[in-house]
Amino acid sequence: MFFAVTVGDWLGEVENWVFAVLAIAMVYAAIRVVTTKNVVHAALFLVIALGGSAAIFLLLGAEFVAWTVVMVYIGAVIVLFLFGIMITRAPLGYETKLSHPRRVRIGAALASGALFLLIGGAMLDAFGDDPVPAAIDPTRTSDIGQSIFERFVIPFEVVSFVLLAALIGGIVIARQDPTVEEEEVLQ
Amino acid sequence: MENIAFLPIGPEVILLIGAVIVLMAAVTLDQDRRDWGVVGAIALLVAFLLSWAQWLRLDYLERGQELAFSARGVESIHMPMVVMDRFSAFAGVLIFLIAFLALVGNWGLVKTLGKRGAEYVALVLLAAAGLHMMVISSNLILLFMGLETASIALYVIAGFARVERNSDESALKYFLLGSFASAIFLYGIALVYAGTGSISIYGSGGILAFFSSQPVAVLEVGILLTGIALMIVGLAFKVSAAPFHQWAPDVYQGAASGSVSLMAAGVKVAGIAALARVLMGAFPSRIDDWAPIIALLALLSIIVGTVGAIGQGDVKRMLAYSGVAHAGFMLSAFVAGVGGIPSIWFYLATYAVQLVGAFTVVSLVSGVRSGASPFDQYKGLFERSPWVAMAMATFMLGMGGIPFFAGFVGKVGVFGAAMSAGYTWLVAAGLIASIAGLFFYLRIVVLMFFEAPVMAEAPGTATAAPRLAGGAGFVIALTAGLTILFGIIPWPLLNIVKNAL
Amino acid sequence: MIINQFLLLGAALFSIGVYGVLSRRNAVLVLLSVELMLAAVNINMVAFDRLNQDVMAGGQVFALFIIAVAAAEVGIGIAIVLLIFRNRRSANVDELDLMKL
Repeated sequence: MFFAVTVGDWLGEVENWVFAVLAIAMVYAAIRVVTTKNVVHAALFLVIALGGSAAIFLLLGAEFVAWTVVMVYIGAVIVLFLFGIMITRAPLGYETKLSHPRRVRIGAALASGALFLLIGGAMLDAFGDDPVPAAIDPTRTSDIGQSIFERFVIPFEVVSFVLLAALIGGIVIARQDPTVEEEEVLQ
Repeated sequence: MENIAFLPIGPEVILLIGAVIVLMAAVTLDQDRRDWGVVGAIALLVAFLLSWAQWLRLDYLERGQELAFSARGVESIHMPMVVMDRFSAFAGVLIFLIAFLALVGNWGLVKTLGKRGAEYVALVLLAAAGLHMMVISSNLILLFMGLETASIALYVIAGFARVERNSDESALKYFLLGSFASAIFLYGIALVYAGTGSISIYGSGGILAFFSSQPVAVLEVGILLTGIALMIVGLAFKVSAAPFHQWAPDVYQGAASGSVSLMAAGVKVAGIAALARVLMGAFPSRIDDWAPIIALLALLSIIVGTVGAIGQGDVKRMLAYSGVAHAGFMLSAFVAGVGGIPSIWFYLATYAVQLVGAFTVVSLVSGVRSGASPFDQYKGLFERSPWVAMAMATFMLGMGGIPFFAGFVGKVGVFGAAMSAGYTWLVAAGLIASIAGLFFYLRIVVLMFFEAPVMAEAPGTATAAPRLAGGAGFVIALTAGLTILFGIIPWPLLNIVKNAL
Repeated sequence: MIINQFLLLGAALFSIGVYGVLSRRNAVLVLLSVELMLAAVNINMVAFDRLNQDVMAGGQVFALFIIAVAAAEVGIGIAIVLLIFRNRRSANVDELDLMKL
């Protein structure tokens, strides 16, 4: 047996109730993201899944990461997605051609299920019912700042490489150029 | 100045400065002037020379490694962020040489891009910096950041010449599969972090050695192995090893011919080197666990690549499939552990040089901006432009592993390494595949030398006789020369790679 | 709280994301699934960070870097989807079959 903790003990802690509600909501939202027939709904369900992950970070005492997720993901990335969906004028109603045919979907489900069993099995085997280290203080943001600017300063600078490449790339790709015929006329 | 050593990250700094100068010069100068191109080429050359300087400095210090710390304090000495050793110095020399040749050899592409040429050059510089970061990192965070820098720059480059209709599809496919692979790679890192409690590749001698000096944490073998497997899958996507190769033929064919050489050769060098760094630097004591996975990947790649290449009617697709097979040949030397690294380096160096040369020929024959490169365009190439045809024949024979070309020495090396590790079945499969591979390499040679030219309708492509001149001529001559040189006298390079550990 | 509840949640979200990438045809939806996978990685990173009681908060810092990179990736991805859509009025992956496998 992996677990010495009984279900009753587990439910005795208030945090676990919070966790259970969050986990059920997140898994449901995630399943809807990959199965819904409406593109806009998929993006909105992703908001629920990501908001849940921010709450999980709070439970784990990682406050700075939690608020970063809220601001960057829910504040910016999802808006970008919705922009993309609106501009490409994807039908707002239900559409049947968003997924591959059933044969492909069954294969995908088998593959991802096997992956889950593999990883989950390894995790249960390794950590069993190890508790989260008791009475952890939330990580202070100043500690994270210290860590980023001392130990991780080179990767931090490298983020600027990534962002510069993404900036140039976004401009280059999305900019509307004259078509071939127009270019010939110009020349 | 004591906290950050600048020589190890010098190439990145130079390339970033170069990219910014190129972008600024392009907006300030007249539209017709392309002086910024020189800045891009110079930045790559300086980065190339800095990598040599790293090698020479290590010789001078008579040390194997210099670690660059990013912070003062005890922890940082055990957990450096950047490592400068002969391995990374040699990788740097190779990556920047490839990027330089890819840029100079396809200068025609930059010219046709007009005012977007500067952005292309800047992206090439950033991609080269990212690829180099993958091999100098001694921490999985930096490895991932380098991978993403290079990937994002290359996604854009793949979609660059987008007047061609195939180019956008190629960019989308590359992007979706690439970000999928990145996510898998990241999950692998997370599991390795869980299993060992560290994301340093080199603690004091490998992640596991670092681990054993930490009495608090407990090593979780199951999690660690799952993590290693997922990381291998993520990197196998990047180096296009089977069964994760499906994107390669489409992307190579869809992207502008002039931009493929960096995408193909550069990523292969950095990906194989990073895989070697992770597996042999961080997990040398786990070789019995990961060697079978790698051997299986190698076998699949060799078979799938060879069989796939036989049926192709397009030179770029053929080169993509043969690249899958070559990835398999290189992976088969991994099973020998650290002892296999010299033969991987030799194979990688010669293959990358031949690949850049071959893609430069393709962009000469089919046009730098075109996607497709059907066999018809190569028929009778010898009559039209004998030098180009002879260079292409050199690359084909070299990749096929004919004696007295560089590929032969490389194949002997990797098969020897796999043999010494006891993987006889892998060597047998590799030998059969090499012989079968001769079929499609020789087919192109036959097409070029013995078939009558087929005149294509589109002017400026197959009808024209491509001339060996300018940047492309220089690159083709240089790469063909190196292929023959290292085939006949491989000892200088063999001596260098022996130390590139 | 036991650590495995967080790890299994992460593994579940990751597997669901993999299913989404493999089963979706629409490029935007594939990208959403990749984001789901990255969120799962973040949960695992932070959970491991707490489990290891990493003095340098390595897992949390890694999660922050992942968020930054993911945002950049989404930017590029949406730009490419726009480009495709402008060229051929569709964002479905396998309608793009100019080239056979």
